[in-house]
Amino acid sequence: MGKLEQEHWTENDVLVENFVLERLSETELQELKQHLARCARCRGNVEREQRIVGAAKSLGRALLKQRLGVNLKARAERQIPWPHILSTAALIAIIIGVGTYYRWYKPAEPADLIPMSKEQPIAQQKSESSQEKITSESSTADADVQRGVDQTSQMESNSETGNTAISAPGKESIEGLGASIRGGRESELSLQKEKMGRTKVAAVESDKKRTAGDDFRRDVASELQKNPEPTAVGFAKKSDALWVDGQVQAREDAAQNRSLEESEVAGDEISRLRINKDEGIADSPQERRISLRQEKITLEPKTVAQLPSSQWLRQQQIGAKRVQTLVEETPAGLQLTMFFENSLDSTLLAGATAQQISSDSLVVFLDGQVITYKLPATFTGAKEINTKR
Amino acid sequence: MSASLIFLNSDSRILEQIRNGDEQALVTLFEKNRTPVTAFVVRNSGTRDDAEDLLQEAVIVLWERVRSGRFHYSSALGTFIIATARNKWLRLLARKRKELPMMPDGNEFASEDVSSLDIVIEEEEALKLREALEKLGDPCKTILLLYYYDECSMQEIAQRMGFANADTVKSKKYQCKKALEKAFMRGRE
Repeated sequence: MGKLEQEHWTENDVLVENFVLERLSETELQELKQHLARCARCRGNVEREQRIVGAAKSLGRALLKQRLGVNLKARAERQIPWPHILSTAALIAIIIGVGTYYRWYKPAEPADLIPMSKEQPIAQQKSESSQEKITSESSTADADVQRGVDQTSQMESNSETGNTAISAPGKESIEGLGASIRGGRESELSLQKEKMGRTKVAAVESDKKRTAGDDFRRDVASELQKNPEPTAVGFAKKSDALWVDGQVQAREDAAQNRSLEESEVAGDEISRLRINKDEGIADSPQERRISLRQEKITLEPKTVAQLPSSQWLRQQQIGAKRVQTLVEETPAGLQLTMFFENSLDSTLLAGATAQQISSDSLVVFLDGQVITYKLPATFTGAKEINTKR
Repeated sequence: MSASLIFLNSDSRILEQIRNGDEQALVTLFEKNRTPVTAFVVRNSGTRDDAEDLLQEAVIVLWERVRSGRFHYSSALGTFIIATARNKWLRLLARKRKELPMMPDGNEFASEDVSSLDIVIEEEEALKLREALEKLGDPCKTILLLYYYDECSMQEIAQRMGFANADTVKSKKYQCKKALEKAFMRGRE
């Protein structure tokens, strides 16, 4: 191989290629390099070959890189976007879970089903509620007006005999007497009868659907959804019992509230009952009783310490301005079990009055306090007619 | 023990793919090493695009080494690729740091630095030659690429391109080289 140092080895194309592509042994390379150091022509030949190899490698690399880019893009397009799919599936599962929870389980919990009315005057609520019912039932009202009038007449007849009362069992029993007042304005009474007829007939239709406890619960929830601001917050375990929050107002507010009611609801359904142990007495000739589903309302005061554990959290949320109350429908009438912060003197109950200011609003006057309730329609006038029919 | 066996099997499968010219091996290597290389480049004043570009070059270096038989398996393929990408990026950063101070004047070649000028001329000539090769068209372009880039033997080229035998390829390659040189010279003129 020593002769390579002597001759112009770059005349051999294969040798030049092998030199440039580094396919020679280290000994051969050294010999060729020694010749290149002395031969400018051979250096030129090697450089020319190196440029060709360099260009081919550069182009080959660029083309390979281009193909790699295409393959990567194709692979990315083929890949299933699992993160997106999984996150979407998780979102759907959460929505279904929350929906199911609220639809089936939430009513049994003591959380807010529908927020309680705070600012809106009760009289105004009553007015809106009555108007809404009348409007919604207008299509069937004409046919049912007569039935409603009959019911109203029957109730009036009952109240005239003094059999509407509020009572509490045992030592805290209070009875009230429904006042049956007929004003001199016959035309106004006629209008009221018509309204009552429509409202009650609508309730009767709704009542037909109720056959079991679950149906009842569903109906109550439905009624609550329709009503914009009831105070019902949850259902007790018994099918015909309901937890509601009574909103406590001070004496001054109460007085204002009463005057407001009297001014705003004149001519509409008002039911005021004197809660007394004695026989029921009409409270005032100016007050008229149009509809009251429950002939007896029983008040049972308890302390918050006696609350069932399921209501403790609710008690912490509502504060002192509200009174948790369990409304139960019993054969004896409507029973309100009220849970006060402190135990209540039984003498205070003696002077208590209850006022139903609309088909779904009830006000309890307790000494210096007024406690307002908004009840689902199923606890008020609607069911009475059905029962009688 | 079992873990290292799995590791070796995975790498050996990729190496086998490369030796067989299966370019999907490059895609696999790219995806496997994307995260560490991107993290390194982004941490060192680069972008995700820089990282992807660099990673492509690194896997191509491995491809060339394996194809030319100059790759000696002494560590995991991932280690080799990450190290290659890292070195390339650091060299690029160093080059940028060197060049940047000269950029505002725009006269980085005014210092009569002959070696820099030579490099630029060489780079320009290499680019022209590459363009000439690209314009050469088939089958010359393919023959020259297979021979010089893929380092295939004459026999292999004959089989892949459907030539009668290795001598035919040899003769064709000689003609192609002459055609390339002519095209390059025309481009210079």
